Amino acid sequence: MNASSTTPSLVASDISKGYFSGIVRTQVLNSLSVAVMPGELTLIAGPSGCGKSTLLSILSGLQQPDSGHVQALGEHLGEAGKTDLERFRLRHTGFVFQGFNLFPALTALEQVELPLNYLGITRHDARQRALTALEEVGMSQRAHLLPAALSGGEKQRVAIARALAKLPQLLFADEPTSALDAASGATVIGLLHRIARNHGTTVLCVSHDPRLIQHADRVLDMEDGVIYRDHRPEAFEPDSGAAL
Amino acid sequence: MVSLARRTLQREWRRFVPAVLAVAFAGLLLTIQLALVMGIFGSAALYVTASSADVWVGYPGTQSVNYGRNVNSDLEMMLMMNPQVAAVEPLVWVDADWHSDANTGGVPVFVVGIGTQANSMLFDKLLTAATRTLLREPRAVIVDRADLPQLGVGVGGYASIDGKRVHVVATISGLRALGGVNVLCSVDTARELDSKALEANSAAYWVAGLKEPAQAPNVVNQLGGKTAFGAFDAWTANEFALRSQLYWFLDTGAGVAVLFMSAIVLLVGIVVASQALTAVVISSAREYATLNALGVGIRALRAVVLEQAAWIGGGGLLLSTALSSALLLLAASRDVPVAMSVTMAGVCTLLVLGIALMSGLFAMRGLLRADPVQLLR
Repeated sequence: MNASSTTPSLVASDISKGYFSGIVRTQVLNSLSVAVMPGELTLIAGPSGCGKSTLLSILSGLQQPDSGHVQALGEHLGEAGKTDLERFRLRHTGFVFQGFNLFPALTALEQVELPLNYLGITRHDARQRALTALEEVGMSQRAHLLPAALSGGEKQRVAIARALAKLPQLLFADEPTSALDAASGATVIGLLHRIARNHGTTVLCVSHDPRLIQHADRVLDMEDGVIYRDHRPEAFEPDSGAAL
Repeated sequence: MVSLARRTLQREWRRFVPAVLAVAFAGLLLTIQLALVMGIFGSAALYVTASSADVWVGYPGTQSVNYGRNVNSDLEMMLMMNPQVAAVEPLVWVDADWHSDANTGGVPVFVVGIGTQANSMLFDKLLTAATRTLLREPRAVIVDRADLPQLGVGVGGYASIDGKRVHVVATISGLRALGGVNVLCSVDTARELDSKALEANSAAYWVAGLKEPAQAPNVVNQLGGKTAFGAFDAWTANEFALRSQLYWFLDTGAGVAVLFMSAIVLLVGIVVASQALTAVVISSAREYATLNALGVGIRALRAVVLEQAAWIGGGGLLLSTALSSALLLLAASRDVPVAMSVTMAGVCTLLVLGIALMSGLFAMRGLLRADPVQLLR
């Protein structure tokens, strides 16, 4: 299934963001506008400090811009309160971070199942969705293991399953391959790509890892708080890293 | 539903041990302190609580039973005239000095003269009829077995009270006193030992047993207006016991000291337990932040911390109960004055759970670090 459509799922209009460090103000985003399409893996690339993670946090509703507007799945995030934003994220978004952030005391299956418990679905359904997600990332055989028994690549696959099991329309990934070796990194980016293609999910990935560029449908190059280049790399066939 | 709190406690229990120990030892300190205080101050009312008399009549304004002063012997007649009264007995109280052949110096003693009849009301909860009979011997005395070393005498031995020779005929337990040693003897022996008595029939208290013990408050009211028999006050047994205990607890400053110590124990328990729990929360701050990024509300995350605190409270309570029970049994077997009741145990339980709850509330501060924006770099 390829769920690409012509309606953007994420739209940022003229957003700016700055931070104070003591009395010095650093402008991170400068009147930036972008539209992200569903069914694609969009990669925001750029050097450290260029503002790409800040852009991701604003587009995902984790923080508000100083000015400008963000629309996600047709909802204006700037008008939502903290609780509304939490509810929006619970229903519509998944996150994958550079650190895997798995609870040391939970098995892989429990890690995936935990957020589902807050969605108001039955325990049985939560268990089934968790198992399906783990199978999708090739971790069903390791579902009973604690994080201490998993490799870095396996932990990241569990983290992806945790995000995926919610069936999110928006999936945000921040440097998902930075802590992984080349093979594990390729597997993870392949998974993210397939999720976009097969589920019609909007996958927005931030990375300074140049290896990822060839796996992305679309690349937004950033520097000094602006997108200076928006391009589509040559067509890429997903690798065979994990069975779907 | 996956319980993050329970799973973490099960699989990483070692990280919670400091918190459980802090709660348990705070509970232990509170319980033992309360039991000791109630045991020690309970002995202030021993004459009343160890006796089955329903009404006590004594010197006006007496604040504690061991501060008795001689009252008019006509009060016996006044009590006998009340139709509710079934029996009247005197309690003779003498503040004296004990000397033995052992090198123990002078020991302040409270000589308590009581009836020697088998059905006497005074100290009938401590004395068997057979032991009481031993007091019929002139100058025979009974003391607490734990007081023998400081009295410098053994059972069957002799000593002197205010220069008059006495014979220790038996020992019992549960007779220990505050600030001195209780010495039981017959009314006649006590009057003989009381060199300051102004009348032959002197007594510090006249106690009465009623036909219907529940009528005690009414009898006390009826006695209250009478003046023809000299100055006196009348109390029900419960009133007089409480009055004596409250005097020691509140008017001596001991109660304030106990409350102060309890507050410190509570504070230390809360600080140590909350620090341990906060450390656990902070160590998982990134994981909590990830859950929050996925839309799990901060309120739900607080509930996880509170559940952990509740489990810590439960574990601490179990440990505290086991340790306190063992220590209290040991103390009781060694004649250390301790007292425990269901109400007191309930109060201790609430305080222990309160410590855990407060530590949980403080540990929620750790969630402030669970900001998903911090995960993005």
